[in-house]
Amino acid sequence: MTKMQTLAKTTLTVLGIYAVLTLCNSYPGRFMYIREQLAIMPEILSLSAFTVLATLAVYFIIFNNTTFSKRIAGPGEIPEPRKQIDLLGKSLRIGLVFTGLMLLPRSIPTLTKTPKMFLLIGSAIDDIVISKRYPRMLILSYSEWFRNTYDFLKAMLALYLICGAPHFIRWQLKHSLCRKSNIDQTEIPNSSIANSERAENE
Amino acid sequence: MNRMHTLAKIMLCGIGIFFAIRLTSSMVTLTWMAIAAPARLSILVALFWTVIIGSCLAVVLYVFLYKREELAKKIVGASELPEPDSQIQWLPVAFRLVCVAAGMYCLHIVLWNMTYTLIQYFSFKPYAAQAGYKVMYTAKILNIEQILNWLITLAAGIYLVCGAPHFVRWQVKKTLEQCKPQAQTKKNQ
Repeated sequence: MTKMQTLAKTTLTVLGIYAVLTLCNSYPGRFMYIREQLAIMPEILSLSAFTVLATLAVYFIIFNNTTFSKRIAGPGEIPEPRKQIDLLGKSLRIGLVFTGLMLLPRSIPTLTKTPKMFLLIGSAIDDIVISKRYPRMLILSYSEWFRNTYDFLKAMLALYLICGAPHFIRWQLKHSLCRKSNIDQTEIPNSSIANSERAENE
Repeated sequence: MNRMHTLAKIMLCGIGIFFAIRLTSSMVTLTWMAIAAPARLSILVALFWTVIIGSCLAVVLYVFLYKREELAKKIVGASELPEPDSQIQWLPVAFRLVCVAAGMYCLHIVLWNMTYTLIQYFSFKPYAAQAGYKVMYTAKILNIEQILNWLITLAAGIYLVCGAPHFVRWQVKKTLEQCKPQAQTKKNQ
């Protein structure tokens, strides 16, 4: 993978995260209409459309974007494998930290609300155990439930990305290594890349 | 084609995908509105807007994805530009740039929220004598939680705009640690 292909891969990953968040942001309104039973079928159809788009974004733009990135950046000079891995790890981390930092300002209200929610859980348990009634703080509409869950997950995602998303990067590096070794096995034995790698291994 | 051309191509492609996501999302919402509430938005109007948004999507995809090479050449210029010095320690620089950009965004959010609240406050002040407005706008405009959120965002924004030295140092350390074992594994293979 060339340097530019690596950059394209990072850009695609960042855009994929943005796409998923944008698509999921439209969910609460749909749930509100289902709750009010105004029009169930269109809601289900639009929810399915958004879910399919989000799944496609996750699969093709976030996780399996190597082919797409190669098509975007085009061919170029391939650096040695160690440099490729180094560059991919670093660029992915920069891109993901940037995404996390951009999500942070919108997630701060959720983060400040979360400790308050944990304090209120005590009174909710009291309501259930002592008063034997459904706690007031949990009486929410579907759209509110979804909005709160979405905000909470977004805040957690922001924190994970700010920490550098180590698991995701490790998976991407491992995946890229596996792909690379598979390609190498089918490569012409006298090609310049194969020769350089062989020399390095020796 | 030099490195700047390829960078421009990637950026253009990224912009294209960004707008494509926005437009596709709008198209789905519009179609949903037309089906769900035909009284509010007639099918014809929805179809008209869907066609317009679809055309915009097609233009965006054509210009930013299909014709990105020509556009990149126009942006960067035809002459060969010198390659940037590869010896520069780019990792801390990149993290610092990212932090500064994020800090600017944080400050923008704080400024936007404060301006919006102030405008809201002054717009509805003449009506404050009425009971309904009083309850609605004096109780909700400013509360401790909101002020706390602003202060946290402001502090984060200022720290990030200053370059977030501790955060950058920690990130660089962790990045180098993460990339090292992977490179060693590959070398051992």
